[in-house]
Amino acid sequence: MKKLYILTLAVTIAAMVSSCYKDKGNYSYATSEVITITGIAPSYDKISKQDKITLTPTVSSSSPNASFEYFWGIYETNVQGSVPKIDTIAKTLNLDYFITQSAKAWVLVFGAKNKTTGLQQLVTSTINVITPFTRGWYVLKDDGTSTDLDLFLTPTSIVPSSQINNVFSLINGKKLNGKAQFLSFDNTYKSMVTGVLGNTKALFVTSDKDASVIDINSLLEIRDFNSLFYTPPSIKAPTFVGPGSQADFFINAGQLYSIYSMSSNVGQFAARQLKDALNTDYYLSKYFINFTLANPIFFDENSSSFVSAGGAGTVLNSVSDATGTAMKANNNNKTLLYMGIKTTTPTGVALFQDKTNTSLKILTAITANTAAFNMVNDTLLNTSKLYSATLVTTNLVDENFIYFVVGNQVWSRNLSNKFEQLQYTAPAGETITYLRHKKYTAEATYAYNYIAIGTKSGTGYTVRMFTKTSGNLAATPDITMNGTGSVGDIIYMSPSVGSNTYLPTY
Amino acid sequence: MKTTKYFMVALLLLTWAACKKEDYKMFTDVARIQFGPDVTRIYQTSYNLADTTKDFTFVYNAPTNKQDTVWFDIYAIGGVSTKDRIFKLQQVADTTGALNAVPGVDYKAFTDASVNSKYVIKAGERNTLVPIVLLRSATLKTATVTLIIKVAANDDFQLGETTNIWRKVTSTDRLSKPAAWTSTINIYFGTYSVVKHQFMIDVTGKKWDQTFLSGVLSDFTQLIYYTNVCKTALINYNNAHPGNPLRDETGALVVFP
Repeated sequence: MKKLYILTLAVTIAAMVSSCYKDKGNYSYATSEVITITGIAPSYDKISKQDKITLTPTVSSSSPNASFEYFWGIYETNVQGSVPKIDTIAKTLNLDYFITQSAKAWVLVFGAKNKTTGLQQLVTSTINVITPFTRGWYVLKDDGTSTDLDLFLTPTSIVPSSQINNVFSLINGKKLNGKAQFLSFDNTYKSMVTGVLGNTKALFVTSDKDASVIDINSLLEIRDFNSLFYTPPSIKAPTFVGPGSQADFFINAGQLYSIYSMSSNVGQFAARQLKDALNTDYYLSKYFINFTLANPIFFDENSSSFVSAGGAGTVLNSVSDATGTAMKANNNNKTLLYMGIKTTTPTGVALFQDKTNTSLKILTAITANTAAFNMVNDTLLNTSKLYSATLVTTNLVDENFIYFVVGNQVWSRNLSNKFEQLQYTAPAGETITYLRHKKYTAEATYAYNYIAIGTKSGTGYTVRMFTKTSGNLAATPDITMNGTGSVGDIIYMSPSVGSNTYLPTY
Repeated sequence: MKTTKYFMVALLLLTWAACKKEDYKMFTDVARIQFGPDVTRIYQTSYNLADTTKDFTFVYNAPTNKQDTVWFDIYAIGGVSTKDRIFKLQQVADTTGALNAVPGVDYKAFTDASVNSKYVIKAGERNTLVPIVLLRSATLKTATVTLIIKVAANDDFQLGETTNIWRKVTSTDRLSKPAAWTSTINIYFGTYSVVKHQFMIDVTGKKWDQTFLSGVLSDFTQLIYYTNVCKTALINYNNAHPGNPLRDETGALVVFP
C-alpha cells in the first residue's frame, strides 16, 4: 500500500512539474504593414483588338525598405460550367496590354508583393471589352410588313451622337417578318458562338410574325424562330421572349414555351406547356408580370384566369386567391386590356374589361403572390381619361403612377388618388405608337430615368425621352431619336446590362 | 542491479529489432479472371457492379440482320503475361423462371469456332472485350431469353471475385426495356412498358433505345421537351378514345407523370 502511495505521489509531482511552463510569448505590438496601390480605376471600357490598356499604378508600403514584385492577371466573369482561370499578362509595375479578349466583362487583377515581408496586396478592376454594338439605344421598328433595328450610338453619354440604321439586316442580310413587337436581353443564353457551349449576351428580337436571338457583340443571329425550338410551332406569332425566374420564356400564339436555364441546355425551347392534365386549350395574353426572381404571372384569355409557370415545368401552375381579394384570380369573366409589372415584390397593374358588361372597366392593383393572389379594384368612370386609353404603361418602381395615351396625348394617373393629368401632346401630324418607362442605374455616367414616347409621322418615327419630376414629365425631351418606320420597342444596351437590369414589361 | 542492466539491454535490442522497413505488398496469388466495368470506370468503386446485365433487342435491326453482338469488359487479375491466356465461359441456367437461351439457337455457343478464339487475354494485356454473339431466333418474336454467363477456371485463370464472375444478357426481337431506362428516366416518363415504349417511338420518331436514352439526360430542356411531347400526345390519345384510354401489356393505364 505504501508503494502505491509513493507511486501516486511521484506521478502527481511529475504531472505538476510538467505543467509549469514559462510563457515566452513572441508577441509583437508593432503596426501591421499596409501596402497602398493607387492609379487603377474600378472599370475601363475597351474595344477588343483595337485598344490597349495602359496603367502606371503607384505602390507604397508602410514598412521601410520594402521591395516589390508585381503581377497582372486577367480572368473572365459570368462563366458557367468551368472555373475561370487567371491568365498572367505581365510581371512589371506598369501595364501596357493589347486587348484581344472577346466582348464581355473581364476582371483585371494587379498584385504587389513585398519581397521582404511576404505581404501581398491585390487590386481588381473590371474591363468591359466592347464592340461597336455593345453600347447604345436599340430601336425595334417596322415598316408595316418587316422589322429591323436602328442603333443609336452613345460613346460618351446617354445622349446618342450617331446612328446606324437597319443594323439587324445590315449584319444578317434579312429582316424579320411582321411588325416590331418586343426586345429583351439575356446574358446567360446558351450558345456555341465562341466555339464551345457557354453563356452568351443575347438580345431577343421579336416581331408579331417572327423572332430571332442575336449575339450582342456581333449582332449575328444565333438562332432564328424555327431553330429556337426543338420542334417549331406551326404558327409564328410571338408576343414575348425573355428571361424569367430560372428560365427563358417564350409566348407564341398564346402558348408558353420555356428553357430551364439552371441546367445544361443548348438554347432551344421545350415543348408547349400544358394548361392541365386534360390539355385544356388556353391562350395567354401578351401582357405578363415577369422578372428574374419570381415565377411569371400570365393571363389565360380563354378562361379569364391567371396562371404561373416554372421553367422546368411541363404544366402551367394555377394561382390561388388571397383572402379578401376584390376579384377572383380564376374564371373572373374579364378581358385583360393591359398588365405590367410595377415593383419586384412583385406587384403589378392591370386594366380589365368585363366580358358580359363591356362598358365595365376596372383598374386593378395586383400583388402577384401565386399562393395568395390579391387584387384591389378601382372601377373606372367612363368620364375618366384612362377609360378611353389606347396605350398604357406602368411607372416602374418609381412614383405610384401609370401613363397612358388618349388620342395624341399622354396622360398620367396617380394610382393613390386617381388624379389624371395631361403630360404631353404630340405635334400635329404625329401619332403616338409607343409608350414605356425606361430606367437604368447600372452605370452612374449613363444612368437615366425616362418616359419614352414614340410617334409616327408619314414613314418616319420619332422617339422622345422625357425625364420626370414627381411623376410629371419635363417640358422638353432629353433625347430625341428619329428613323424610318414605326417603333415597337426600345432597349439600352451596355456591357453592364444583364438579364435582371430591366423589368421587362409592356 | 545486474538484472536491471540485462533487462535494459534486452529491451533496447527488442526495440531495435522492432524497427524494420516493411516490404512492399506484392501480389503472390495465381492469375484470376473476372468481369468489370468499362475501363474508364475501373477506379470508381460505384461502378464495380456496372454492366452486370445488358438487355438487347433485335427490333431496331433490319429484318435481314440475323445476329448481333453484346460486349462485356473482362479483366485479368495478377498482372500481365508474356503469352496469350485463354479464359473460359460457360452458361449457367437461370432458375428464376426465365426462358434460358439455347446455345446455337439464341446465341453462338462459347465453343463455336467463330467466337472461341476471341476469349483470350493477349500477351501484355490485362483486359479485353468479350463478344457475346446473339442470334435472332424465331423464339424472340414472342419471348425474351436470358443468358447467364459465368467464367470458369482453367489452366490460365482461377476465378475472381464472386460478385464479378458472371454477366447476364436478355435478348428479344420485341421492344424491351433498355438498361438506360433507369429510376431517373422513371421520374420523367414513368415505369416502363412495351406499349408505352412503342407509343413514345410513334409520337417522337425516336427509338428510345440505349443510345438515345443515354443522351436524352444530357440536356434538361430537351428532356422536358420529350416529356411534354409524350404527355401531350397521351392526353390527346385518351381524349380521342373516351372510355378506352391507352393501357399497357399488363392492362395498366399508361401514364407519364
